[in-house]
Amino acid sequence: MLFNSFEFLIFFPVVCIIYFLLKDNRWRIPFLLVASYYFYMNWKPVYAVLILTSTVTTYLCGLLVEKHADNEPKKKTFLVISLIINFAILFFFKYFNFINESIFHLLEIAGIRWTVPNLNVLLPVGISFYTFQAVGYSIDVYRGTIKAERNFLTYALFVSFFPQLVAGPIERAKNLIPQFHEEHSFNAQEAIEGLKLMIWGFFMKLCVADVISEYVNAVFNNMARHNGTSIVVAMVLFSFQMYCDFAGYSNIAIGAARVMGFRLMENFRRPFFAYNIKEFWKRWHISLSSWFMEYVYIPLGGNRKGYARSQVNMMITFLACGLWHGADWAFVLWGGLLGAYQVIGSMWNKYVHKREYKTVLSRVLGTIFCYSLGVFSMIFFRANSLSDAFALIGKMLTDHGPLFVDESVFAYGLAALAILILKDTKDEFNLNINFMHSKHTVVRYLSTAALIAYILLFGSYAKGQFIYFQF
Amino acid sequence: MIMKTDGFWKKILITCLILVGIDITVGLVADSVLDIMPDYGGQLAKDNYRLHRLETDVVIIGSSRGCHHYVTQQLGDSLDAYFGHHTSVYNAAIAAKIANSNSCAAEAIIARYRPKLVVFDIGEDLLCLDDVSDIEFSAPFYWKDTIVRRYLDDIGFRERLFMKSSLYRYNGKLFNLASCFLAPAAVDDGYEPKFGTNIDTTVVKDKPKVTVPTSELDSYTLNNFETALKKYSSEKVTLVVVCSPHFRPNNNNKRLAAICEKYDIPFLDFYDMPYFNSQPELFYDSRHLNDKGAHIYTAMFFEQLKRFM
Repeated sequence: MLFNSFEFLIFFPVVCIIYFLLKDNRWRIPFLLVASYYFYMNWKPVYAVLILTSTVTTYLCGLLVEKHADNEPKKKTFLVISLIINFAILFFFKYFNFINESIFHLLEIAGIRWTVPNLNVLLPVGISFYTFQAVGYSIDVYRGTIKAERNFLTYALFVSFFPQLVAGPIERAKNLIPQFHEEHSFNAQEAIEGLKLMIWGFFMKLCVADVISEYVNAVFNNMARHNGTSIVVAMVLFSFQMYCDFAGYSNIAIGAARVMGFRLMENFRRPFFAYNIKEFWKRWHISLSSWFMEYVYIPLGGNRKGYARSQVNMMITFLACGLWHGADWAFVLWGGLLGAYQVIGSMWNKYVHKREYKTVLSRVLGTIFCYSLGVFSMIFFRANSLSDAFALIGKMLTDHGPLFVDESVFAYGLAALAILILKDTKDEFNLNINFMHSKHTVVRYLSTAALIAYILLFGSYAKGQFIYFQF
Repeated sequence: MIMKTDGFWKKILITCLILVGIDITVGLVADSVLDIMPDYGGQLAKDNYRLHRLETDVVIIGSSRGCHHYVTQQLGDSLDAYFGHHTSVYNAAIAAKIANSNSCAAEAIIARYRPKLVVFDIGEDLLCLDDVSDIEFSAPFYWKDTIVRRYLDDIGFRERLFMKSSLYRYNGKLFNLASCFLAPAAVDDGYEPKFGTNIDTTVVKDKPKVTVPTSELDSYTLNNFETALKKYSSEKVTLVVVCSPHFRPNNNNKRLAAICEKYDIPFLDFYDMPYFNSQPELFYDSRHLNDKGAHIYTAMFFEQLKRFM
């Protein structure tokens, strides 16, 4: 079920009302679990089996790891079993064809014929998200940072909680599971805040991301007809499309959970205000970047094994992050490019410019530079293939001409972008200008209703999928 | 557990009431602008014109293929010469308005007056599309036009419900509404020429022609199309269904021909013509003729049209 669907408009209030009418957690947890599976099964029911498999294996392995807490080899064996099963499912559905095709091309160069056929399977929505969440739980239990959850239903809800099931935020067990044990009574203020966050999320998705995607798609799906100038503009718009699509989803997810009394982790914090790449990753897809930091970079040794090794670890982490985003060499290259940014940035700070940039001008220049690097890397993210990405770069550098203009997209999209940038600027610099959170009741009501009206009047209802659903 | 709502529902109700107020205000303002909209200047104006004001002897309806393929002036001159008196022609085809919007326009025209001839440019591929976005474009006319209302209501419960909101009806259309007053007057009586070609003529000539399996006809679209044909058939107003040339198409119009035959409506199929298939330079892209191709096609079309006049 999509957040931006009529079904969700019915589903969500009904779930909330029933949830709060139910007496206590004995009923609420099973109810939320059923609702979450219903939410997921609206897309392709049979793939719920995959979530169940992931849930059962990580649940049982968690219990067994805890049971053998004093026996390191056994403990490790159960963790490895959990990781193998979960990553095998992910590999089968997401990476099999990519690896198969890569082997085919590699052996073709050597003159060997590789005849294993590709699989004809649909990528299960959200598989990378719930797999990482479940795997994170297994590792946390193994490390002893959390206790294994005994109640299967509570654990199953942790893996499948509908607001964040298909596109995150990738929650940590230590944050979410304890909240399932608490009794949540209805809190009007929290519910209102949750709804406001959802409205803002819908604005980001429907009025910014989906509107400017029309221009971006028109350019990228017909590259041959467009010149470098239009491609540069499309790339800039695509960066905002990505941000608003994903941050919009996260806001709806966090808001929906908050209405029911649950606090999910922040996933985006105005990433385009970052003044260096390190800062960017503290603001963009925070739940994923912190996941890779906790479960990949640190186990690889982090920065504990010397400077050179820490940079290698950083590269490996970013390459894995790239691969997480998609089974294509373009994504690997994208991850590699981001890793290279980090490594070069780190070396610059270590060997060339050791002081921190603190002046306003250096921050502004840093923000522009960081944003430009981000946009450049996104070429590999958006291009339909690796060869397309290089063709795009070539066009951007050489083929300049008149800008392709779609008047209505520019009118609606740029107006919405202006609202977004004003809001993010206000939040970034803590400016005391409030609309939906104004202390004046009239302003509060009017601005909330006006934003909903704006979404209804200017939002795109072409049922645009969320970009991150494909991961 | 008793829920303490702490004024939650009151806050929701107040917000909803303000929203309803905004909705009504936007509806009143936009509806009154709609009433004074000119007959030219963008798709919304053209849609309004063909649904509510158009009264020419000959009308062409269709999608982008229609508006780029029929040279109104040339067709008018040919008809004048043929009949020996002036025959008014208007190309009321609109880009991206596919089957449903055009069936609706066809019905609206016959409900208002009896033209001498209506040319309905359509291909079977358009009858397969499960896409209502074209008729949703006419949503501003929901209360003004019973035929548009019927088409939109037939989409389903959700649409029927949402159409009661002015904000939803005018979703994404304020720019179209404003641009009607800013755009220059249209020339060529609705014909919108395309120039040049985007087909790589050096590559395409040697490529083998591919035939792809056809998809199912969409029931909503088919039903609307058949309703329009039925009306023309029973009212005895001449309607000619035409499929204009496509560059080396990969399917055919067998089912479309059968539907037309069922209602005794003539069907002219120019879709897959060797003459055009061998001349990519007559096309702007694979679906659309350029100005040169349109002039050649209009002449060819007129020769065939004589049989039904």
